Amino acid sequence: MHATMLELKSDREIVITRTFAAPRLVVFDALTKPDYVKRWYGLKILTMTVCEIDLRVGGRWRYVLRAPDGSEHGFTGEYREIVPPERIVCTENYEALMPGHEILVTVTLDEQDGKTTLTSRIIYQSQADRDGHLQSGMEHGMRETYERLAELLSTLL
Amino acid sequence: MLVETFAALAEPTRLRIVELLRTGPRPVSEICDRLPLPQPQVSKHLRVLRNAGLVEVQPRAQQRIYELSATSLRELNEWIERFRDIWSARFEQLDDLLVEIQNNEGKK
Repeated sequence: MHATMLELKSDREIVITRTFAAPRLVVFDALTKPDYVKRWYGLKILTMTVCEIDLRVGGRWRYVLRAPDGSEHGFTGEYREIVPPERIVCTENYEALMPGHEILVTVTLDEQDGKTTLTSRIIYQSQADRDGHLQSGMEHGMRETYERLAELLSTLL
Repeated sequence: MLVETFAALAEPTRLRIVELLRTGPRPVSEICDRLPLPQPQVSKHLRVLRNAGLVEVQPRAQQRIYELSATSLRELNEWIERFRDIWSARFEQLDDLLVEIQNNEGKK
């Protein structure tokens, strides 16, 4: 059982770290093939109804999660950098928000002794952007809400 | 409650006040000096923070000493824990999948 670490690097940045008992080629596949992503990304209480991945620089991805109350939450973005099996950089936007408030996610995979450490660095746009969406974030999808809140907390903890 | 807390924090000066109070209770006069902002303005922000339950005030002699409320910070911390829990739950499902993928590859 590996621990999921969450670090609040700055008021615009969250870093999530987790080690997996698998070589990074396998982890990379699990992160980038829709058949695999559907199996783990949707949480038990959320059903993943759409999982589209066009894995190339400039290609887009789109995930839709259905909540227990039937509401659907779409997330979409564009791949900026792909270095298999080491690194993926992509944008992410919660579709319920106005465009232009995307976050930048950098996933890095480091392998050591057959184990892979995943580091996901989430960078938000300006603080003004964040503040403007804090309250709207409260009313929308759980994940978006948590991200914005976690981001805010980085200034407190 | 949380909506109020975040609304109160979603303002640069108030966030700065909360950051100032992180290191310990401070009198209003010191908060004004550190920002620096005139007292009426600071008092207005402090009132919002107080109504949201983020700070508490203790009168001491001629001064009013402000400090962060442990309860509201605990609540905030619980939120971030839930964010971490989501990823933790996801990654546990990924663990199972990785075992399965590797088993399948072994059979090929």
